[in-house]
Amino acid sequence: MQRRNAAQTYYYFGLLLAGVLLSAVSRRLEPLCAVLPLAIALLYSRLVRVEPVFTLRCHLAPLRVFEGDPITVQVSIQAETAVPPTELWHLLPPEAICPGGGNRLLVTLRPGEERTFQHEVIFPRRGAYTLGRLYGRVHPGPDLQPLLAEYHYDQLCRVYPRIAPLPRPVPPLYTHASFGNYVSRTAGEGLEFAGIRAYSSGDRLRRVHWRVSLARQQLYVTDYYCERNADVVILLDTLASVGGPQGNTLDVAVRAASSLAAHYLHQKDRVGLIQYGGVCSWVSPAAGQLQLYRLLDTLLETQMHFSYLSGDLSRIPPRALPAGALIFVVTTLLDPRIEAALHDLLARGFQLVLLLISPAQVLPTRRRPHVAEATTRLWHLEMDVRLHEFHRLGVPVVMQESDDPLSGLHPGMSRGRQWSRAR
Amino acid sequence: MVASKIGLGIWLGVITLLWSLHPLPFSQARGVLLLIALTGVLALLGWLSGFQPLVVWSGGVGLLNLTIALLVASFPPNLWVGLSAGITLLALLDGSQRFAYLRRCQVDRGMVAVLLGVFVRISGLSLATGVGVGVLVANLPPALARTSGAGLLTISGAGVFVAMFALFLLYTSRWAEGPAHEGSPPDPPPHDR
Repeated sequence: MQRRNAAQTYYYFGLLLAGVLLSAVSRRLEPLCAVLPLAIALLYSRLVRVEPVFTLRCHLAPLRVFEGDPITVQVSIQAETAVPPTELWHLLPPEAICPGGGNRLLVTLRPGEERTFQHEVIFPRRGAYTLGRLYGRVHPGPDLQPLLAEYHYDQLCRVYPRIAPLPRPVPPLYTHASFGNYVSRTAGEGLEFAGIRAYSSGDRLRRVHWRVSLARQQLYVTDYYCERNADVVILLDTLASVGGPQGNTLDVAVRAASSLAAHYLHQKDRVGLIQYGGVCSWVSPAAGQLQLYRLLDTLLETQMHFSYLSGDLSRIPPRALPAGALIFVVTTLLDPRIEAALHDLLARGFQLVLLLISPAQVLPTRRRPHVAEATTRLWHLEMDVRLHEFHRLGVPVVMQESDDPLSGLHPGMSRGRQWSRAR
Repeated sequence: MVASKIGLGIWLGVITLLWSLHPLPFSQARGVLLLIALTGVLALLGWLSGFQPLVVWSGGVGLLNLTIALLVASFPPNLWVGLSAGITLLALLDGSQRFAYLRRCQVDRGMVAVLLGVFVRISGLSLATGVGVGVLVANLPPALARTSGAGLLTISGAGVFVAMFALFLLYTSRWAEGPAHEGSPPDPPPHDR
């Protein structure tokens, strides 16, 4: 602990000086008596020297949360000697919200006493935040020479983008034979019951349906539908972002991407991610819970970096962009370089779904409805012109109409002849 | 917590009123009334905004106002006037500092009593010291007080007192810079008051 002079010390001494001066000049005792308590307080703070001994612990749980979920912080203090009024301040990042303001405590303890305080921290925005830095300020006596201490119980908390469940499943157009939730119309390896037929040469013995075989006195085997899954790639446009730290199009896009990834991974599809900015980065498609956290960790650090370069999709290896993959392009279309990439993908025969994030939803004009309405209409007009080519090529386009960018996904994808599976 | 805040708020309001109106019984000259208003407004603004220098300014203006009021009224020397003003001034400065903690922090039970205990202790010590000083001044030989060099002696005595006090504070401030227990001394937090 470090003893420091508080600003109050200088104020008290200044007033003491003024009182003595007034007393000497006016030759009256009253001004001197008026500043006497200040002099006593100054002397008291110097002569009463308390060195409290206490142990501090800080525990945070959980360390991985989604946006808006609370992180519980437990601060335990165990006193070996009597602890005078002590301020404990858990310093939070500016993005954090502490409901009830319990991150600053003023406590006093008796010798041997142990107390635990708890408060919750909420992060409304994704990111990796360091928590657990505590400042202690012991106020012995009149608080003119507080004892300061800094305690580092740094722990990294990962706040993942919020995952919004899709109201209805949106199956991909093309699938391939692998384990998954989609059932083929042909029989093969799988779990879904298809029927019972007579045994033929080459059928596996474990497929024999013994009950029917005994009843009919002839071997019968069970048929199953073939299981299939799909490759889904989310292409996130990080070329441009509109809005401030409180809300911007990139954050909305990241939430949409994480929701899509969670949905398709839950369907046992293989999901990959491409971040299209000045330099492309990618995560190859894979299935499973581990892949979800791999994608969320990547999305956590997604930032917009301005660059005059434009990423070249032809350099992305085929394992990251497999043939026949369903590609969700999450973009604002504010940067025209993304259109070149989209035409490249269409020319290579990929099935695209264009998910347009509306800047009108994050602009601060939302408090003025007429301005917000005009912005939305202008944006729609511009998008109609720019999306004409994509409409002509039959690319499903989902435009963000509300706070949830995925609300129009199912109607957008089930429209038209191409996406009959989603109907 | 809310009760503590309301209680300390009322206490601060009463103290502000007492401190600013203190010179009123001695003189009601226009200048004194103006300084009374200035003292009250400064203390109120400092208290509401949490800006401590405003409260200190209020203390300085009030001190000057009290001296002027006593001089204008040629009020006979009174120890209790000075001591009561001093305790009110301490309550104003200390209370506004404590209120800043209450406003920002989640306060543990029994804390207000602990904070008030320190104030009461210092007030008691001040009273005892004030009475001691009063007795000392009252027992000074009257012949000494009437000498021509008494004024010079008072001013030089005050100077020596202030210088010694400042030296003591400077010396004890060096104690404050002692080695920290955990690594380097902590910097004040970025959002500190």
